[in-house]
Amino acid sequence: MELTYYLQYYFFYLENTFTGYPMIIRWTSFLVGVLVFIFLLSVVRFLAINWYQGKLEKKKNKIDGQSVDIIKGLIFDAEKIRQDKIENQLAGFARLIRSKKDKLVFTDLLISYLQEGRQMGLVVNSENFRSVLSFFGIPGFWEKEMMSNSSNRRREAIRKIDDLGNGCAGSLILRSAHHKNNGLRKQARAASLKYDNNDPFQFLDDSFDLDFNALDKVLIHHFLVSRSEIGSLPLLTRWVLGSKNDLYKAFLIEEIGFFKQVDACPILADLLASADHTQVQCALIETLGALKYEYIQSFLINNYPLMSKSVQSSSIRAITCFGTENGLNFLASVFNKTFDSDLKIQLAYSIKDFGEKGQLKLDEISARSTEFDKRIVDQVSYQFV
Amino acid sequence: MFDILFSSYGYVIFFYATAITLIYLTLAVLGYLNILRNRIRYTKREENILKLYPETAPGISIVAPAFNEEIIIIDSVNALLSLDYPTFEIIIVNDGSQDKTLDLLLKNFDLIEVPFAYVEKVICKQVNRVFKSSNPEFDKLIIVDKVNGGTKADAMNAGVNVASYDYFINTDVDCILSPDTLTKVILPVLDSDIPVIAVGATMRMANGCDFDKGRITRVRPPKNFITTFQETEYLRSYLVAKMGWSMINAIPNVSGGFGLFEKKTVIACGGFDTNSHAEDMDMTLRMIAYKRENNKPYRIIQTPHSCCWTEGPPNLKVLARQRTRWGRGLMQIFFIHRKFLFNKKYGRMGLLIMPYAFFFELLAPIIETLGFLFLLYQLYTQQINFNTFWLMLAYVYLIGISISILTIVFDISIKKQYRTLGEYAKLVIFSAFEAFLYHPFVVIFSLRGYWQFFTRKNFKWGKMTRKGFNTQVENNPL
Repeated sequence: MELTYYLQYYFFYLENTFTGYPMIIRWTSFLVGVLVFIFLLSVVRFLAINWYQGKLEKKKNKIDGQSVDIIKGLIFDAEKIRQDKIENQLAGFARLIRSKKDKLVFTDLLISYLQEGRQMGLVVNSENFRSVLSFFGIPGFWEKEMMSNSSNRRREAIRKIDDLGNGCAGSLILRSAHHKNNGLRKQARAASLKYDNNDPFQFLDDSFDLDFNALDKVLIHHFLVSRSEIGSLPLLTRWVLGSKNDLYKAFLIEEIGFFKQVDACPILADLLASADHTQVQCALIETLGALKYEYIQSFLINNYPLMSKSVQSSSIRAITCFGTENGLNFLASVFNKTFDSDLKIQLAYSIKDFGEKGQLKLDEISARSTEFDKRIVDQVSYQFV
Repeated sequence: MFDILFSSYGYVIFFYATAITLIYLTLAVLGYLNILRNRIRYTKREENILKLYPETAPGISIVAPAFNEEIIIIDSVNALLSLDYPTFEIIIVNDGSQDKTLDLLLKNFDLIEVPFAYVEKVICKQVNRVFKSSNPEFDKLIIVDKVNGGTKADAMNAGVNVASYDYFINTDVDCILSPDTLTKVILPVLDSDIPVIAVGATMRMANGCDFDKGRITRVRPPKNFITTFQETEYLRSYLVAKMGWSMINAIPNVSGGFGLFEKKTVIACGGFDTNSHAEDMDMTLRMIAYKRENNKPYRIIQTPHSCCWTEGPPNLKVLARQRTRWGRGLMQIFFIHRKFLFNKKYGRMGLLIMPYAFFFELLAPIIETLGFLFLLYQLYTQQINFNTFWLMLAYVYLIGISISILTIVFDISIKKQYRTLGEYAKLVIFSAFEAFLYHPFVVIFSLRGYWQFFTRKNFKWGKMTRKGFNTQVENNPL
């Protein structure tokens, strides 16, 4: 009531003072008012943020100071401790972690304990850890957050659940897998690879997401690695063939190489003959190289002059992986014909990777080459004593 | 006649100040939205995942030219070596230093001259030798020893020629990077559907911070006047202006102190211009022009995180050298790239970035000085209407201080860098005096830069007097 009164008073005061002045002055008084408002608002926000952060810090220090030893002792204990014993040990801390804010702070602390433990080489006792989490109601809290209306809170919940590594119902994750928010949707789809036990790979169909980018590759890779730790992955070629997005195709092909899915080689080799997108070609060649599928070597050698620079570079890598005599001779002959200095340096390093035979070849090249080529050979051959 | 002229100029000043207010308020709103977006998208979680799987992290070359930097070179390299990222290399370009810069490097990092097939993709002075360390602990370090080219741009080009990764960071050896810098700048690159050609980050003053072996152990506001004013000035430039411009893909300049660049675009543009006095802005503009001329989509991104701490000019003398050079560089930009100005072929750069820089950066010191002289004249001839004078003065003063405090709030909301409220309060208090105690000097030095551009042919690069980052650890004596 009083604030409104004062605001009205000053408004009328200013209006009265500047009535009759030119428009420019009245505009200025208005803009000054706006700037004063921004200034005051900023000061209030400045103090409020400081107060809030200080309070969080205090809370964190309090929880950490009182419970760190017991909680760390429980989660890194080699033996499984009974639920009721854990509850007895933690009973005194229950009052510390009650509100939403407490649980946020406590989750961050737990994540930091896990990271510290892993860095020190300690193994988490997942059963004890689960008991600790359920005693403080942490899984329930984050599951509730996953059902929040705010996409940001849901996104944060997926991150925290994954960081805690305690698992979560796949159906909860799937609630966000069709959300209109790109970031949340993609994060949920990637997480479903790990947490959905019904149909974990459903989002690998249809190129994962319309908005697929390099950061999604990192996320999918992370969840595929997590899934592969539980059991073997299905052959990823199924989704390569079904996709229309070339970047996504290239990514899946690279993953086939990473997870050493050797059975996929004949299919990939067939694809190589028809692939027309540079990134897909590179991924195919490098994956087949990594999987040591030597049958494509002759294809690579025959088609080398027709390839773009990036595909040539991938072919060099693949031929190096095969490590055949024929491949070595080919690389040496290409070295002498290449004008591109980047490729030349790559070729020299590849030849060097053939070991003693490679070094002999480099010496041969060096004996009858230009000054620059000799320099490349010297660079590649140089070894610190 | 005089009266009409003065009266019109009064209006010009008013509308100019109002335009600045409106632009800055718009940028502040956009900047804030951008900060929020960044906070939601990229967290420690994404950074950790990237570090967990090195095979997914793109390699980054860090290029830092060094010319007579014996005081800070060892701390600086140690700080770079301790960066937390799976795949990177550090290229220190010794630009013909006449002091012990190279000797100290050789001694402290077990460096040995190695054969190197050097390819000159962009032009620079002759590269004499390349050194690598025989100690596996320093295997990421490459030292390029070259003939002095007189400019940072020349040394940068040598670094670009040696760099092996697709992205490189342009920085200085007097800059200390925060350990998580590389993950912070690469995440937005990965998260973009459109090719990202450059990424900028927030730079701050290192002057007041505590260091140990080249790493910041405690962030504090600077202790002396000049650098404290500069801290707020930098934050305003990065968190309000650049974050705002980034929202509409219209960043005019990725700072020379710290910026991530796409190597192939830099090479396609011919590298850094060795004749430029503002090589960072020149490079940014040429990269944009290259993309526009070839109808290639691009993005330039600004990340709000404080990634780089630099030693700011500790006194007026050094500030004068720095700002005079910046003034010269800005004037040179408009002479060299005048074809971009108001040219719709260059899209946002021609119709937004360049006109903004022209009216509100290049002309600002001139308009402000004329306005001040005009005020003095009016005071002398007693033409000032004191009923409205204070209102106008308050208006101009409030523009600066409101934006400054808004910036400080943005900064705390990203990450509380200083430990205490008092340290932030120091910045707030200093912003209250910036208009009287700091800004006039910046205006004078900029004008001096413009004057030098038109009157002198040969320019010497202003020397920066280094104090060093580390008082506890001595460089290894030779």
